[in-house]
Amino acid sequence: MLARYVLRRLIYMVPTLLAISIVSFAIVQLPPGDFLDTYIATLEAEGGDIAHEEVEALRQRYALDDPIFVQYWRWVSGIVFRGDFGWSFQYQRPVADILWDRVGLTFVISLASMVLVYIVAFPIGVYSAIRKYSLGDYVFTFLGFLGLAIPNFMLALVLMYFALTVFGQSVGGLFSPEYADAPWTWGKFWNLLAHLWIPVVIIGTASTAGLIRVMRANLLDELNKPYVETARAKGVAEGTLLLRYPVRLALNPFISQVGWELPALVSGAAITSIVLNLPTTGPVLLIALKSQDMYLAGSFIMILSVLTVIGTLVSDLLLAWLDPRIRYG
Amino acid sequence: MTLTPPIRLLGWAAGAALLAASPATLAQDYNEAPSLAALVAAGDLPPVEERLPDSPRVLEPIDSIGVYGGTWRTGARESAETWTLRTVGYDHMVHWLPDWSGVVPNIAESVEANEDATVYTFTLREGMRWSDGEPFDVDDILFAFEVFEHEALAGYPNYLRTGEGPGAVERIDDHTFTITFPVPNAGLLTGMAQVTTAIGGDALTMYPEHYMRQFHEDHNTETLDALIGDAGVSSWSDLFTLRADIWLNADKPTLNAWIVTQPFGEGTRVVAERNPYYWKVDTEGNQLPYIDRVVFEVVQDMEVLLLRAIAGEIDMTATHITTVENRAVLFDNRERGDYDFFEMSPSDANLATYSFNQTHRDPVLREVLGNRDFRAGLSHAIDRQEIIDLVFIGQGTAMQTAILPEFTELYNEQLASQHLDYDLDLANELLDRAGYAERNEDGFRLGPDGNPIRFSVLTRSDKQFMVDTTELVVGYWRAVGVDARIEVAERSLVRQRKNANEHDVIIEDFPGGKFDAYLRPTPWVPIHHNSAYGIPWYYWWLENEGAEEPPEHVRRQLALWDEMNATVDPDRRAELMQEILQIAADSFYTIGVVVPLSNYGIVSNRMRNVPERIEGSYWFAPPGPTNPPTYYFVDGSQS
Repeated sequence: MLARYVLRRLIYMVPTLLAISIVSFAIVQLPPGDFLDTYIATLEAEGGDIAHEEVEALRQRYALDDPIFVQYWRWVSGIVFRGDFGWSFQYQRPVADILWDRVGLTFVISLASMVLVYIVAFPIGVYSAIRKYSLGDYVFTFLGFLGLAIPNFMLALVLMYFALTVFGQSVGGLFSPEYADAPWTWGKFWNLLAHLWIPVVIIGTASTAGLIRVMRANLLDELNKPYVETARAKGVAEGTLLLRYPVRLALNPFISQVGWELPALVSGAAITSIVLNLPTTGPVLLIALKSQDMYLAGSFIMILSVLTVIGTLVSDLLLAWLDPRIRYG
Repeated sequence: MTLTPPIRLLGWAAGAALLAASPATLAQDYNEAPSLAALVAAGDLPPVEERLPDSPRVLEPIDSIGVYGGTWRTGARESAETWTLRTVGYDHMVHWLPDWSGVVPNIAESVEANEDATVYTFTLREGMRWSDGEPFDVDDILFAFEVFEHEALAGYPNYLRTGEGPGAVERIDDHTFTITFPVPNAGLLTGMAQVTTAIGGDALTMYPEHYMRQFHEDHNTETLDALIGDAGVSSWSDLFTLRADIWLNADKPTLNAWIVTQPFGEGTRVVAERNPYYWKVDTEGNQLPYIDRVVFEVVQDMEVLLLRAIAGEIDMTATHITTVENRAVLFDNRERGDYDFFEMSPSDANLATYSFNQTHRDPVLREVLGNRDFRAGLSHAIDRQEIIDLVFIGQGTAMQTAILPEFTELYNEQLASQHLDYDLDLANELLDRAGYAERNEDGFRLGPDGNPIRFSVLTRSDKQFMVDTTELVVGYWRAVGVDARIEVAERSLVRQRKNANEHDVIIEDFPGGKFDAYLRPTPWVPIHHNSAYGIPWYYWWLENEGAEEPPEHVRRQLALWDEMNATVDPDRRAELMQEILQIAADSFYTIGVVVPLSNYGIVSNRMRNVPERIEGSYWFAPPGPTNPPTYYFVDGSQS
């Protein structure tokens, strides 16, 4: 039954992804002009220029004048038949190269901040629920919302400024200059950790508040239910009771969120990464969209969509495993 | 060496400067960097005499003979980057002279042109080598032409094209070749001296035949498919383009002073190391460059670079962060960052030029915007000093869009200073005289069709000073009864509407205040897609779609421009240009507001041989022509 369910879901994915590919490719092309217009505008921004004939030569080479469905077919057939995501005009190299170069560090940062968020948000959420309206609840809630309210880029700039002025630490990037190109050693790993905390904290602060509130609300719903009272009446210790039943149920919304976390792992926190100069994938998507680098942007969106679809399936399966009340439909 | 009068004239350079490119003496007394000497001692590298050509280019350091060592730390953007090309990448066939007074042979030992600029003869340096030790000779040039010729590849650079087709190359011997054009092409050498990102001034010398042939379908039928597969690209032309770019492919041999060893895409830095086969020496025979290594920190947000500069982690830069807004903070932190300023002398013909569309699709607006008194009146209505104080923090001079006074050979007093005074009475008088004296109940002047004159000023959103300036200007114009409105749009949308001739008035900034006037006189004659006062006129000249035959005086200008591009005599060229500018002054196509006082770059206090003043125009490719291989650190290394 499980196998059939998974198979059916996998088959559903095909038309979904096809539709997504069409829409994402079309949306990237929606703004007026094409990549060359942005390219020329960028050159002109610093007083530069490019000759008319060279623009025409580039337009021909990139086949920008072909009808959009021809361009779409070239792109999609490349992905399906050859695993070729196309050519990035902006970076002048294959799209796959650009993305794979960056996926590793993006995962590290996203995973680290996700773990941090969970470690911080779970206990606080539980505490806030069982000690509702206590001083601690208010303090944590206030701090959480503060973290949510301060824009990430602002926090990043402030932390960088202090890192420079107070600690004299080299700012931006994930390594000090002496380690940037060195092979992996313990020293380099330690250096990475010394830099990693800044983005992890910044990205983490933003999502902690949300998780605290979700946990708190879910748990509050459960705490008043009769089964809790029954358990308590039967003499189950308060701690065991809490963890064995209501917390477990309150976890359900988290699990259904895993589907959303998967693409987030790859897309990274674009703005934070740009400000902190992190070599992650997030900024690439932003740059690609801004410059109408359509194969890069389209492929990126495609990969995110695939991950979202897969993530949704995984979270559905997890949910069913966690909560026997849920059945495969 | 041969040097006939035409080339001297053609290069707009003193003959002595061209001759100086070829040193006769210097025999065998060459020195090299300690790191290279160690390699030679170990037998891993041939001795320096064998690595240098028979007649290396000799550079005279502007301060002093340098010492070897150190890392030049600077910054770079991820894409559309030119700072890398202007620092490490600036080694072309010919170079601009450091004062921008002309060109000088660089990779070429000498260049000779015939009387009418149809045949150019280049002589290469005998014994010159690529950075992998392979000889550089005419075969590489012939291969480059093969690349231009192939329809799947980049195409001819602009300076090799003429209206009658591209130039043709011919081999004379291993170190001599000619390029022959069907019609005179006076722009060849200045074209080669420039930096552009697509097909640049280095096009002739960027394809090492022995290395690049393996990526060319005509030369490699056996393993090419495997190479394409390994690289994960879809065609051989993509592979060829990818492998030909030193900034993406560390394996490609180069003629530059530093070899890119860590290209874009590998981490957050781009690193370039000393080229052991570099073919230039200083006046004491020391092989250049002095500095071991150049490191570009690749950033997405320029604030990171700014913080690094303040922390003293940027040794020299004149782009990205050296903006008007950052001037104060960089100035205040000079001591802490151990750097100082140098001047980047601007060549802007204007920072805020309003082009009035005289070829408007709407006949009423065409009549109004095409009325010279109307434009003159609006020009007098602008309080330029207020704009300079508020938007440019006092750092500007009121001027129309014109040649700068210091470029005396083309300066035109009328073009620069007509209709410049802020004078509301005169403005109203001129607008009345233009035929729009009648006003409606809101005080707006009525156009020829009896409706209020209304137009929008298309303003790109990515340059804040343009938005700020236009907001003020629109206010001034409304004050004299013209219903002008600001319309802010994304820059590529602005471009598209301009190209389609769907605009009323557009604000632009223009280079062209100095020598670049010979290259792009866009605001004065419609030879470019930014000549927004007459886009269909430009299309007419280009024989493009959407053309409209220009009026007599514009046709005269375009004929003069064509004539100038076929003329080698600099005096005659200046005459032709002056006539173009005089017609522009009489026609008053655009209203200019302000030219910048000066721009700046920052340089470490430990760095030497960086001029105190560098020409700042993009067309000059600063700091390339000031010879970065001669820059050095006083202490040899650095903290």
